[in-house]
Amino acid sequence: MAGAPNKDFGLAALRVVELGEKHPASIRMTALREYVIYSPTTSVLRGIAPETQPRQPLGLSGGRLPEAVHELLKLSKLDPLAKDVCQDIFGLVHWMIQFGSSPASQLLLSPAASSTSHVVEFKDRFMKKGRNMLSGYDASEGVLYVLFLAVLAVHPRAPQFCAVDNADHGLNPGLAKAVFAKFSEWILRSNPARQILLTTHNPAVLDGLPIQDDRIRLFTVDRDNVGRTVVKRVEYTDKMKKWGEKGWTLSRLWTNKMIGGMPDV
Amino acid sequence: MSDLVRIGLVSEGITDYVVIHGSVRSILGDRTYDLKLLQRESSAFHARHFGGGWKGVSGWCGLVCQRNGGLAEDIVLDTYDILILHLDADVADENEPSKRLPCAVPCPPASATTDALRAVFLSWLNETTLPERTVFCTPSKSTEAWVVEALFPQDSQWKKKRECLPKPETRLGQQPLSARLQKREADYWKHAPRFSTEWPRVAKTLSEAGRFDREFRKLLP
Repeated sequence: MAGAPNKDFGLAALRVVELGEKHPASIRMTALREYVIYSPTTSVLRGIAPETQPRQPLGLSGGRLPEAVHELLKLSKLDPLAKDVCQDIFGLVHWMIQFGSSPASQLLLSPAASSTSHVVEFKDRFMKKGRNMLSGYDASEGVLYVLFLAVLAVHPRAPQFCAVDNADHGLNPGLAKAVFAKFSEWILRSNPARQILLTTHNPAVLDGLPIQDDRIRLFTVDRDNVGRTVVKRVEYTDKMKKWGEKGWTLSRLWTNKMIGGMPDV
Repeated sequence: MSDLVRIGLVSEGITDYVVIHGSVRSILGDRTYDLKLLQRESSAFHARHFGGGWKGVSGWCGLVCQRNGGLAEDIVLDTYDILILHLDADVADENEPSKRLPCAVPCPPASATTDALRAVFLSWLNETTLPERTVFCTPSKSTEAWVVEALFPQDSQWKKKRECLPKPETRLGQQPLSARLQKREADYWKHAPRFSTEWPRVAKTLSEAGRFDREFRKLLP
Protein backbone atom coordinates (compact mmCIF):
# COMPACT_ATOMS: atom_id res chain seq x y z
CA MET A 1 0.00 0.00 0.00
CA ALA A 2 1.41 3.38 -0.92
CA GLY A 3 3.00 5.23 1.94
CA ALA A 4 2.91 2.30 4.40
CA PRO A 5 6.28 1.28 5.88
CA ASN A 6 7.73 -1.92 4.43
CA LYS A 7 9.26 -3.92 7.28
CA ASP A 8 11.15 -6.18 4.83
CA PHE A 9 12.82 -3.34 3.01
CA GLY A 10 16.54 -3.98 2.72
CA LEU A 11 16.41 -7.51 4.10
CA ALA A 12 16.97 -9.13 0.70
CA ALA A 13 20.03 -7.00 0.12
CA LEU A 14 21.47 -8.03 3.48
CA ARG A 15 20.81 -11.71 2.82
CA VAL A 16 22.57 -11.49 -0.55
CA VAL A 17 25.72 -10.30 1.16
CA GLU A 18 25.63 -13.40 3.36
CA LEU A 19 24.92 -15.80 0.46
CA GLY A 20 27.77 -14.72 -1.80
CA GLU A 21 27.51 -13.51 -5.37
CA LYS A 22 27.34 -16.94 -7.04
CA HIS A 23 24.30 -18.10 -5.08
CA PRO A 24 21.20 -18.38 -7.36
CA ALA A 25 19.31 -15.95 -5.13
CA SER A 26 22.13 -13.42 -5.45
CA ILE A 27 22.16 -13.82 -9.21
CA ARG A 28 18.41 -13.25 -9.26
CA MET A 29 18.79 -10.16 -7.09
CA THR A 30 21.41 -8.76 -9.43
CA ALA A 31 19.12 -9.38 -12.38
CA LEU A 32 16.29 -7.60 -10.59
CA ARG A 33 18.54 -4.70 -9.67
CA GLU A 34 19.50 -4.29 -13.32
CA TYR A 35 15.92 -4.59 -14.57
CA VAL A 36 15.02 -1.90 -17.06
CA ILE A 37 12.14 -1.19 -19.40
CA TYR A 38 13.17 -0.42 -22.97
CA SER A 39 10.95 1.72 -25.09
CA PRO A 40 12.75 2.06 -28.39
CA THR A 41 11.82 4.97 -30.61
CA THR A 42 12.45 5.29 -34.32
CA SER A 43 14.19 8.65 -34.16
CA VAL A 44 16.73 7.42 -31.59
CA LEU A 45 17.31 4.16 -33.48
CA ARG A 46 17.91 6.17 -36.65
CA GLY A 47 20.42 8.31 -34.80
CA ILE A 48 18.59 11.57 -35.44
CA ALA A 49 17.49 12.17 -31.85
CA PRO A 50 19.68 11.89 -28.77
CA GLU A 51 19.32 9.10 -26.23
CA THR A 52 18.08 10.56 -22.96
CA GLN A 53 18.55 7.37 -20.91
CA PRO A 54 21.87 5.87 -22.02
CA ARG A 55 22.81 2.36 -20.94
CA GLN A 56 25.15 -0.42 -22.08
CA PRO A 57 24.77 -1.98 -24.58
CA LEU A 58 21.63 -0.06 -25.58
CA GLY A 59 19.93 3.02 -24.27
CA LEU A 60 16.37 2.67 -23.10
CA SER A 61 15.14 4.43 -26.25
CA GLY A 62 17.44 2.45 -28.51
CA GLY A 63 20.47 4.73 -28.40
CA ARG A 64 23.91 3.32 -29.12
CA LEU A 65 22.48 0.91 -31.69
CA PRO A 66 25.34 1.41 -34.19
CA GLU A 67 27.98 0.52 -31.61
CA ALA A 68 25.95 -2.44 -30.34
CA VAL A 69 25.49 -3.74 -33.91
CA HIS A 70 29.24 -3.52 -34.44
CA GLU A 71 29.75 -5.53 -31.23
CA LEU A 72 27.14 -8.08 -32.32
CA LEU A 73 28.96 -8.66 -35.61
CA LYS A 74 32.27 -9.05 -33.81
CA LEU A 75 30.67 -11.51 -31.42
CA SER A 76 29.20 -13.51 -34.31
CA LYS A 77 32.74 -14.59 -35.25
CA LEU A 78 33.17 -16.30 -31.87
CA ASP A 79 29.75 -17.17 -30.56
CA PRO A 80 27.50 -19.72 -32.37
CA LEU A 81 24.28 -18.11 -31.14
CA ALA A 82 25.37 -14.65 -32.28
CA LYS A 83 26.36 -16.16 -35.63
CA ASP A 84 22.93 -17.77 -36.03
CA VAL A 85 21.20 -14.55 -34.97
CA CYS A 86 23.09 -12.59 -37.63
CA GLN A 87 22.17 -15.23 -40.20
CA ASP A 88 18.54 -15.11 -39.11
CA ILE A 89 18.49 -11.34 -39.57
CA PHE A 90 19.15 -11.80 -43.28
CA GLY A 91 16.26 -14.25 -43.43
CA LEU A 92 14.00 -11.66 -41.82
CA VAL A 93 15.03 -8.72 -43.98
CA HIS A 94 15.28 -9.88 -47.57
CA TRP A 95 16.24 -6.57 -49.13
CA MET A 96 19.44 -6.42 -47.09
CA ILE A 97 22.64 -8.25 -48.02
CA GLN A 98 24.93 -6.67 -45.44
CA PHE A 99 24.61 -4.66 -42.27
CA GLY A 100 27.02 -2.93 -39.92
CA SER A 101 27.86 0.52 -38.65
CA SER A 102 30.07 3.36 -39.81
CA PRO A 103 31.09 6.83 -38.74
CA ALA A 104 28.25 9.17 -39.72
CA SER A 105 30.75 11.27 -41.67
CA GLN A 106 31.42 8.40 -44.11
CA LEU A 107 27.84 8.10 -45.28
CA LEU A 108 25.80 10.35 -47.52
CA LEU A 109 24.03 11.84 -44.57
CA SER A 110 23.54 15.45 -43.67
CA PRO A 111 25.52 16.30 -40.51
CA ALA A 112 22.39 18.10 -39.38
CA ALA A 113 20.43 14.85 -39.52
CA SER A 114 22.70 12.81 -37.33
CA SER A 115 23.02 13.29 -33.60
CA THR A 116 25.46 10.41 -33.15
CA SER A 117 29.02 9.78 -34.27
CA HIS A 118 28.15 6.40 -35.81
CA VAL A 119 25.14 5.21 -37.75
CA VAL A 120 23.82 1.80 -38.71
CA GLU A 121 24.34 1.01 -42.37
CA PHE A 122 22.89 -1.52 -44.79
CA LYS A 123 23.67 -2.79 -48.25
CA ASP A 124 20.55 -3.06 -50.38
CA ARG A 125 20.00 -6.17 -52.51
CA PHE A 126 18.26 -4.34 -55.34
CA MET A 127 19.99 -0.99 -55.74
CA LYS A 128 22.85 -0.40 -58.13
CA LYS A 129 26.21 -1.74 -56.93
CA GLY A 130 28.36 1.01 -55.45
CA ARG A 131 25.29 3.09 -54.69
CA ASN A 132 23.45 0.63 -52.55
CA MET A 133 24.53 1.68 -49.06
CA LEU A 134 21.74 2.96 -46.84
CA SER A 135 22.05 4.47 -43.40
CA GLY A 136 19.74 3.84 -40.49
CA TYR A 137 18.35 7.25 -41.35
CA ASP A 138 17.11 6.07 -44.76
CA ALA A 139 16.20 2.45 -44.10
CA SER A 140 12.77 1.21 -43.17
CA GLU A 141 12.30 1.40 -39.44
CA GLY A 142 11.41 -2.29 -39.10
CA VAL A 143 14.99 -3.41 -39.65
CA LEU A 144 16.19 -1.11 -36.86
CA TYR A 145 13.81 -2.75 -34.40
CA VAL A 146 14.96 -6.18 -35.60
CA LEU A 147 18.58 -5.23 -34.87
CA PHE A 148 17.58 -3.76 -31.52
CA LEU A 149 15.94 -7.05 -30.47
CA ALA A 150 18.87 -9.09 -31.79
CA VAL A 151 21.32 -7.12 -29.65
CA LEU A 152 19.09 -7.47 -26.62
CA ALA A 153 18.91 -11.24 -27.14
CA VAL A 154 22.62 -12.01 -27.38
CA HIS A 155 24.81 -9.11 -26.33
CA PRO A 156 26.85 -10.17 -23.28
CA ARG A 157 26.15 -6.87 -21.52
CA ALA A 158 22.40 -6.87 -22.20
CA PRO A 159 20.42 -7.27 -18.99
CA GLN A 160 19.38 -10.77 -18.00
CA PHE A 161 15.97 -9.51 -17.01
CA CYS A 162 14.28 -6.62 -18.78
CA ALA A 163 11.15 -5.51 -20.59
CA VAL A 164 10.48 -4.06 -24.02
CA ASP A 165 7.42 -1.85 -24.24
CA ASN A 166 5.52 -2.04 -27.52
CA ALA A 167 8.01 -4.49 -28.92
CA ASP A 168 6.12 -4.70 -32.21
CA HIS A 169 6.86 -1.10 -33.16
CA GLY A 170 7.56 -0.52 -36.83
CA LEU A 171 7.02 -4.13 -37.88
CA ASN A 172 4.60 -5.17 -40.60
CA PRO A 173 2.43 -8.19 -39.68
CA GLY A 174 4.58 -10.71 -41.54
CA LEU A 175 7.79 -9.42 -40.03
CA ALA A 176 6.22 -9.12 -36.58
CA LYS A 177 5.32 -12.81 -36.62
CA ALA A 178 8.68 -13.91 -37.98
CA VAL A 179 10.73 -11.68 -35.67
CA PHE A 180 9.05 -12.91 -32.52
CA ALA A 181 9.34 -16.54 -33.60
CA LYS A 182 13.08 -15.94 -33.98
CA PHE A 183 13.33 -13.80 -30.86
CA SER A 184 11.74 -16.62 -28.84
CA GLU A 185 14.35 -19.04 -30.22
CA TRP A 186 17.21 -16.65 -29.47
CA ILE A 187 16.12 -16.02 -25.90
CA LEU A 188 15.59 -19.72 -25.20
CA ARG A 189 19.12 -20.44 -26.41
CA SER A 190 20.79 -17.56 -24.58
CA ASN A 191 23.44 -18.41 -22.03
CA PRO A 192 23.28 -17.21 -19.33
CA ALA A 193 19.51 -17.51 -19.43
CA ARG A 194 17.56 -14.32 -20.00
CA GLN A 195 14.02 -13.36 -19.21
CA ILE A 196 12.34 -10.69 -21.28
CA LEU A 197 8.89 -9.24 -20.79
CA LEU A 198 7.28 -7.88 -23.93
CA THR A 199 4.12 -5.91 -24.45
CA THR A 200 2.36 -5.85 -27.79
CA HIS A 201 -0.77 -4.55 -29.42
CA ASN A 202 -0.14 -6.34 -32.70
CA PRO A 203 -2.03 -9.64 -33.18
CA ALA A 204 0.61 -10.92 -35.61
CA VAL A 205 3.19 -11.03 -32.81
CA LEU A 206 1.16 -13.74 -31.10
CA ASP A 207 1.43 -15.95 -34.16
CA GLY A 208 5.19 -16.03 -33.67
CA LEU A 209 5.04 -17.26 -30.07
CA PRO A 210 5.47 -21.01 -29.49
CA ILE A 211 3.34 -21.04 -26.36
CA GLN A 212 3.38 -24.83 -26.28
CA ASP A 213 6.84 -24.33 -24.77
CA ASP A 214 6.21 -23.59 -21.10
CA ARG A 215 9.09 -21.11 -21.06
CA ILE A 216 7.21 -18.82 -23.46
CA ARG A 217 4.28 -17.39 -21.57
CA LEU A 218 1.52 -15.24 -22.91
CA PHE A 219 -0.63 -13.09 -20.64
CA THR A 220 -3.61 -10.95 -21.47
CA VAL A 221 -4.44 -7.82 -19.51
CA ASP A 222 -8.00 -6.59 -19.02
CA ARG A 223 -9.86 -4.34 -16.61
CA ASP A 224 -12.87 -5.54 -14.67
CA ASN A 225 -16.14 -3.69 -14.07
CA VAL A 226 -14.62 -1.55 -11.32
CA GLY A 227 -11.45 -0.82 -13.23
CA ARG A 228 -9.09 -3.30 -11.62
CA THR A 229 -6.41 -4.79 -13.81
CA VAL A 230 -6.95 -8.48 -14.53
CA VAL A 231 -4.03 -10.52 -15.82
CA LYS A 232 -4.61 -14.00 -17.23
CA ARG A 233 -2.17 -16.49 -18.65
CA VAL A 234 -3.09 -17.98 -22.04
CA GLU A 235 -2.12 -21.61 -21.56
CA TYR A 236 -1.55 -24.20 -24.22
CA THR A 237 -4.28 -26.66 -23.30
CA ASP A 238 -5.79 -29.60 -25.17
CA LYS A 239 -8.63 -27.32 -26.10
CA MET A 240 -6.20 -24.77 -27.49
CA LYS A 241 -4.48 -27.52 -29.44
CA LYS A 242 -7.82 -28.52 -30.97
CA TRP A 243 -8.53 -24.92 -32.00
CA GLY A 244 -5.13 -24.92 -33.66
CA GLU A 245 -5.90 -28.11 -35.54
CA LYS A 246 -9.03 -26.43 -36.85
CA GLY A 247 -6.83 -23.70 -38.29
CA TRP A 248 -7.39 -21.01 -35.68
CA THR A 249 -4.37 -18.81 -35.13
CA LEU A 250 -3.58 -17.07 -31.85
CA SER A 251 -4.05 -13.72 -33.58
CA ARG A 252 -7.56 -14.68 -34.64
CA LEU A 253 -8.36 -16.05 -31.19
CA TRP A 254 -7.26 -12.71 -29.74
CA THR A 255 -9.16 -10.48 -32.15
CA ASN A 256 -12.28 -12.62 -31.65
CA LYS A 257 -12.02 -12.06 -27.87
CA MET A 258 -11.47 -15.73 -27.19
CA ILE A 259 -8.35 -15.41 -25.07
CA GLY A 260 -8.98 -12.07 -23.33
CA GLY A 261 -7.02 -8.85 -23.62
CA MET A 262 -9.42 -7.26 -26.06
CA PRO A 263 -11.57 -4.40 -24.74
CA ASP A 264 -14.97 -3.45 -26.12
CA VAL A 265 -14.47 -0.51 -28.40
CA MET B 1 1.53 3.37 -66.74
CA SER B 2 3.33 0.66 -64.81
CA ASP B 3 3.75 -2.74 -66.42
CA LEU B 4 4.43 -4.34 -63.05
CA VAL B 5 3.44 -7.99 -63.06
CA ARG B 6 1.90 -9.05 -59.77
CA ILE B 7 2.49 -12.72 -59.11
CA GLY B 8 1.17 -14.84 -56.29
CA LEU B 9 3.00 -18.06 -55.52
CA VAL B 10 1.23 -20.76 -53.55
CA SER B 11 4.16 -22.85 -52.48
CA GLU B 12 5.41 -25.42 -50.03
CA GLY B 13 8.12 -23.24 -48.53
CA ILE B 14 10.58 -20.40 -48.62
CA THR B 15 13.38 -22.34 -50.32
CA ASP B 16 10.99 -23.21 -53.15
CA TYR B 17 10.13 -19.52 -53.32
CA VAL B 18 13.79 -18.59 -53.83
CA VAL B 19 14.22 -21.10 -56.66
CA ILE B 20 10.98 -20.22 -58.44
CA HIS B 21 11.85 -16.56 -57.97
CA GLY B 22 15.00 -17.26 -59.99
CA SER B 23 13.03 -18.72 -62.87
CA VAL B 24 10.47 -15.91 -62.82
CA ARG B 25 13.26 -13.35 -62.85
CA SER B 26 14.85 -15.01 -65.85
CA ILE B 27 11.59 -15.28 -67.76
CA LEU B 28 10.56 -11.69 -67.09
CA GLY B 29 13.97 -10.22 -67.91
CA ASP B 30 13.67 -6.44 -67.73
CA ARG B 31 10.02 -6.44 -66.76
CA THR B 32 9.30 -5.44 -63.21
CA TYR B 33 7.36 -7.78 -61.02
CA ASP B 34 6.27 -8.39 -57.46
CA LEU B 35 6.34 -12.03 -56.40
CA LYS B 36 4.59 -12.87 -53.16
CA LEU B 37 4.63 -16.18 -51.32
CA LEU B 38 1.10 -17.18 -50.33
CA GLN B 39 0.74 -19.60 -47.47
CA ARG B 40 -1.97 -20.52 -45.05
CA GLU B 41 -2.04 -18.31 -41.96
CA SER B 42 -0.45 -20.10 -39.03
CA SER B 43 0.70 -19.67 -35.46
CA ALA B 44 3.90 -20.93 -33.90
CA PHE B 45 1.80 -22.99 -31.49
CA HIS B 46 0.43 -25.06 -34.34
CA ALA B 47 1.91 -28.41 -35.25
CA ARG B 48 5.20 -28.02 -37.08
CA HIS B 49 5.04 -26.73 -40.64
CA PHE B 50 1.31 -26.06 -40.39
CA GLY B 51 1.58 -23.22 -42.88
CA GLY B 52 4.24 -24.85 -45.03
CA GLY B 53 4.93 -28.13 -46.80
CA TRP B 54 2.39 -29.81 -49.03
CA LYS B 55 -0.08 -29.87 -46.15
CA GLY B 56 0.22 -26.11 -45.96
CA VAL B 57 -0.58 -25.88 -49.67
CA SER B 58 -3.52 -28.22 -49.19
CA GLY B 59 -4.67 -26.11 -46.22
CA TRP B 60 -4.43 -22.94 -48.32
CA CYS B 61 -6.64 -24.61 -50.92
CA GLY B 62 -9.09 -25.53 -48.18
CA LEU B 63 -9.34 -21.89 -47.11
CA VAL B 64 -9.98 -20.81 -50.70
CA CYS B 65 -12.81 -23.33 -50.94
CA GLN B 66 -14.25 -22.08 -47.65
CA ARG B 67 -14.21 -18.51 -48.94
CA ASN B 68 -15.72 -19.00 -52.35
CA GLY B 69 -16.27 -22.66 -53.02
CA GLY B 70 -13.32 -22.77 -55.40
CA LEU B 71 -10.40 -20.88 -56.86
CA ALA B 72 -12.07 -19.42 -59.97
CA GLU B 73 -14.12 -16.89 -58.00
CA ASP B 74 -11.58 -16.18 -55.30
CA ILE B 75 -10.32 -12.70 -54.48
CA VAL B 76 -6.74 -13.86 -54.88
CA LEU B 77 -7.22 -13.78 -58.65
CA ASP B 78 -8.26 -10.12 -58.41
CA THR B 79 -5.07 -9.30 -56.53
CA TYR B 80 -2.53 -11.01 -58.78
CA ASP B 81 -1.99 -10.98 -62.53
CA ILE B 82 -0.65 -14.53 -62.38
CA LEU B 83 -1.07 -17.19 -59.75
CA ILE B 84 1.54 -19.96 -59.58
CA LEU B 85 0.48 -23.18 -57.90
CA HIS B 86 3.53 -25.09 -56.76
CA LEU B 87 3.71 -28.65 -55.52
CA ASP B 88 6.67 -31.01 -55.67
CA ALA B 89 6.06 -34.20 -57.64
CA ASP B 90 7.13 -36.36 -54.69
CA VAL B 91 3.96 -35.29 -52.88
CA ALA B 92 2.35 -37.90 -55.14
CA ASP B 93 4.00 -40.57 -52.96
CA GLU B 94 2.25 -39.40 -49.78
CA ASN B 95 -0.26 -41.77 -48.30
CA GLU B 96 -3.22 -39.54 -47.47
CA PRO B 97 -6.39 -40.96 -49.03
CA SER B 98 -8.51 -38.04 -47.80
CA LYS B 99 -6.36 -35.83 -50.04
CA ARG B 100 -6.54 -38.29 -52.96
CA LEU B 101 -2.94 -39.38 -52.35
CA PRO B 102 -0.91 -41.33 -53.32
CA CYS B 103 -1.18 -40.78 -57.05
CA ALA B 104 2.38 -41.55 -58.19
CA VAL B 105 3.05 -43.59 -61.32
CA PRO B 106 6.41 -44.87 -62.56
CA CYS B 107 8.95 -42.33 -63.77
CA PRO B 108 9.90 -41.72 -66.60
CA PRO B 109 8.08 -39.92 -67.90
CA ALA B 110 7.98 -37.32 -65.13
CA SER B 111 4.76 -35.95 -66.54
CA ALA B 112 2.89 -39.17 -65.78
CA THR B 113 3.04 -38.40 -62.08
CA THR B 114 2.82 -34.63 -62.36
CA ASP B 115 -0.29 -34.88 -64.54
CA ALA B 116 -1.93 -37.03 -61.90
CA LEU B 117 -0.78 -34.64 -59.17
CA ARG B 118 -2.13 -31.64 -61.05
CA ALA B 119 -5.55 -33.30 -61.13
CA VAL B 120 -5.33 -33.88 -57.38
CA PHE B 121 -4.27 -30.27 -56.85
CA LEU B 122 -7.30 -29.08 -58.83
CA SER B 123 -9.57 -31.25 -56.71
CA TRP B 124 -8.22 -29.54 -53.57
CA LEU B 125 -9.28 -26.25 -55.17
CA ASN B 126 -12.68 -27.66 -56.08
CA GLU B 127 -11.96 -27.11 -59.77
CA THR B 128 -11.82 -29.43 -62.75
CA THR B 129 -9.88 -27.10 -65.03
CA LEU B 130 -7.26 -24.54 -64.24
CA PRO B 131 -8.80 -21.07 -63.82
CA GLU B 132 -7.44 -18.37 -66.12
CA ARG B 133 -4.20 -16.58 -65.18
CA THR B 134 -3.19 -19.62 -63.13
CA VAL B 135 -0.24 -21.90 -63.81
CA PHE B 136 1.08 -25.09 -62.25
CA CYS B 137 4.67 -25.50 -61.17
CA THR B 138 5.36 -29.16 -60.45
CA PRO B 139 9.10 -29.91 -60.35
CA SER B 140 9.99 -33.58 -60.45
CA LYS B 141 10.80 -34.95 -57.94
CA SER B 142 11.16 -31.66 -56.11
CA THR B 143 12.33 -28.10 -56.58
CA GLU B 144 15.79 -29.31 -55.59
CA ALA B 145 15.98 -31.03 -58.98
CA TRP B 146 16.07 -27.55 -60.52
CA VAL B 147 18.72 -26.50 -57.98
CA VAL B 148 20.92 -29.50 -58.78
CA GLU B 149 20.58 -28.93 -62.53
CA ALA B 150 21.35 -25.23 -62.11
CA LEU B 151 24.39 -25.66 -59.86
CA PHE B 152 25.73 -29.19 -60.41
CA PRO B 153 24.67 -30.35 -63.88
CA GLN B 154 27.70 -32.66 -64.10
CA ASP B 155 26.90 -34.57 -60.88
CA SER B 156 27.19 -38.23 -61.88
CA GLN B 157 24.36 -39.54 -59.70
CA TRP B 158 22.11 -36.78 -60.90
CA LYS B 159 22.86 -37.38 -64.58
CA LYS B 160 21.74 -41.01 -64.31
CA LYS B 161 18.10 -40.25 -63.55
CA ARG B 162 17.61 -36.48 -63.44
CA GLU B 163 13.87 -35.79 -62.95
CA CYS B 164 13.27 -39.37 -61.85
CA LEU B 165 15.95 -39.30 -59.15
CA PRO B 166 14.25 -39.59 -55.75
CA LYS B 167 15.24 -37.00 -53.14
CA PRO B 168 17.43 -34.81 -55.36
CA GLU B 169 18.14 -32.63 -52.30
CA THR B 170 20.62 -35.27 -51.11
CA ARG B 171 22.90 -34.28 -54.03
CA LEU B 172 23.27 -30.75 -52.62
CA GLY B 173 25.32 -32.03 -49.71
CA GLN B 174 27.31 -34.52 -51.81
CA GLN B 175 29.44 -31.93 -53.57
CA PRO B 176 32.97 -30.66 -52.94
CA LEU B 177 33.09 -28.86 -49.61
CA SER B 178 33.35 -25.40 -51.11
CA ALA B 179 30.35 -25.92 -53.38
CA ARG B 180 27.90 -27.86 -51.25
CA LEU B 181 24.83 -26.25 -49.78
CA GLN B 182 22.05 -27.11 -47.41
CA LYS B 183 18.35 -26.82 -48.05
CA ARG B 184 17.93 -23.62 -46.11
CA GLU B 185 16.90 -20.14 -47.04
CA ALA B 186 20.24 -18.39 -46.48
CA ASP B 187 22.12 -20.88 -48.67
CA TYR B 188 19.52 -20.61 -51.40
CA TRP B 189 19.58 -16.81 -51.43
CA LYS B 190 23.35 -16.94 -51.92
CA HIS B 191 22.79 -18.90 -55.13
CA ALA B 192 19.69 -17.01 -56.25
CA PRO B 193 21.48 -15.17 -59.09
CA ARG B 194 22.53 -18.51 -60.59
CA PHE B 195 19.02 -19.94 -60.36
CA SER B 196 18.12 -17.09 -62.66
CA THR B 197 21.08 -17.13 -65.06
CA GLU B 198 20.96 -20.92 -65.43
CA TRP B 199 17.21 -21.05 -65.91
CA PRO B 200 17.16 -21.15 -69.74
CA ARG B 201 19.36 -24.24 -69.65
CA VAL B 202 17.39 -25.81 -66.77
CA ALA B 203 14.15 -25.23 -68.69
CA LYS B 204 15.67 -26.84 -71.77
CA THR B 205 16.99 -29.87 -69.89
CA LEU B 206 14.19 -30.70 -67.46
CA SER B 207 10.75 -31.36 -68.85
CA GLU B 208 8.79 -29.99 -65.88
CA ALA B 209 10.91 -26.84 -65.82
CA GLY B 210 10.32 -26.38 -69.53
CA ARG B 211 6.62 -26.94 -69.05
CA PHE B 212 6.43 -24.30 -66.35
CA ASP B 213 8.48 -21.91 -68.51
CA ARG B 214 6.12 -22.29 -71.48
CA GLU B 215 2.90 -22.15 -69.50
CA PHE B 216 4.01 -19.14 -67.46
CA ARG B 217 5.06 -17.17 -70.56
CA LYS B 218 1.62 -17.73 -72.10
CA LEU B 219 0.00 -15.92 -69.17
CA LEU B 220 2.13 -12.80 -69.29
CA PRO B 221 -0.02 -9.70 -69.65
